[in-house]
Amino acid sequence: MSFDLVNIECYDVFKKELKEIGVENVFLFKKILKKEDFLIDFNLKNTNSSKIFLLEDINLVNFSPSNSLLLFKAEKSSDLFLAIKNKKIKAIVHPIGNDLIFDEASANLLKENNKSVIFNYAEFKKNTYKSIKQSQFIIDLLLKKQIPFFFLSFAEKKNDIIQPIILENFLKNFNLNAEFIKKQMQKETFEKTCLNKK
Amino acid sequence: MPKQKINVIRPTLRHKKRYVTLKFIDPVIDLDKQKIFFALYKSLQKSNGIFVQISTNITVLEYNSESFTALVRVNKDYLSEFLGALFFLGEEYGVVKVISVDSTIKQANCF
Repeated sequence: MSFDLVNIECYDVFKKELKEIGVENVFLFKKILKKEDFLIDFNLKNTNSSKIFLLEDINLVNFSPSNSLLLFKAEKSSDLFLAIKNKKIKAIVHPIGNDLIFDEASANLLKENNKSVIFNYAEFKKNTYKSIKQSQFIIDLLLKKQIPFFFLSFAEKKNDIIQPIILENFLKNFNLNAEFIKKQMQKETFEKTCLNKK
Repeated sequence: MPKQKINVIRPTLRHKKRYVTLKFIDPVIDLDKQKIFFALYKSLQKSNGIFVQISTNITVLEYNSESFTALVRVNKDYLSEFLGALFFLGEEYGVVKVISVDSTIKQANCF
C-alpha cells in the first residue's frame, strides 16, 4: 500500500487527486516556524497520521509536544549534526544545501542514532540539478551504511503529488532495484521505521 | 532502373510496443496531441537524454479532450524510462495518471 506525507494546511485541496492516483494512505504534517505552531489541532479522522511536525529551526525542538513525530529539514551541516544527535528528532528531511552537507561522518552518526532520511521528491522538480546530484551521493552512502530512507512529496500544492507508478520508475534512475523501491514505498515500512509501529 | 520494393521487417524482428493510457487531471492549458507529444518528448530528454528519447519512439495516437485521456505508443524496451520521465512533466499539464499499460491497441482502447 503506497502512502504519502502532505501538508495539513493544503490537504483538502488535493484530497480527491490523491485518491484518484491511488495514494490510499496519507500522513499529515505541519510546518513549524514558531513555537505557537505546535498548538495546531490535527483532525486525524480518515487519515493514518499521528502528529507529525516538520522543523527548520533546531531551537524549536524543546517546545514540541510528546507523542509527536519530529522531522528536521537540514540545510546547514551544523544544524544537521545537532539534529542527528537530538533524541526527539526521528528523521532528517532532504539534507541538501547549496553545498554538500551530508558526508560519511553524518551517515555514521545517523546509523549510531538509529535515524532515517526522508527525501522530498517535489524538490527534485524545483532544484533538479542540485537535488539529484547530491541525492545520488547521499543514497549511495545510505545504502552502504544500511540506513533507511524514503521518498515523500511533502506536498503543498496539487502538482507536487506524483502517482506511485511514475515515482517508482523515476527512482530506478538512482540505481535502486524495483523490489527495494516497492518496499520503501509501503506504509508499513515507514510506520515500522519512523513511527515505531510493529 | 525500376524502383525496388523494400522488404517488410518480419514481425519477430520488429520493436515491440506498449500502449500507455494517460489521464491529465485538471490541466491548466488546452491540450492537443501535438502539445502532449512535445511535453512528453521534452521531459524524456530531460530525464534520460536524446538517445533514449529517440529510441523510445513516442507516438500520441489519440487524445480525448472530454475525458483528458491520451493514448501513447512507446517502445517496450524503454517503457520504464518513459514512465519515469512523466515525473518531469510541466505543472500546466496537471496531475498525470497512468491508467493502463497494454500490449495491444485493442486492450488499450477499452479505456
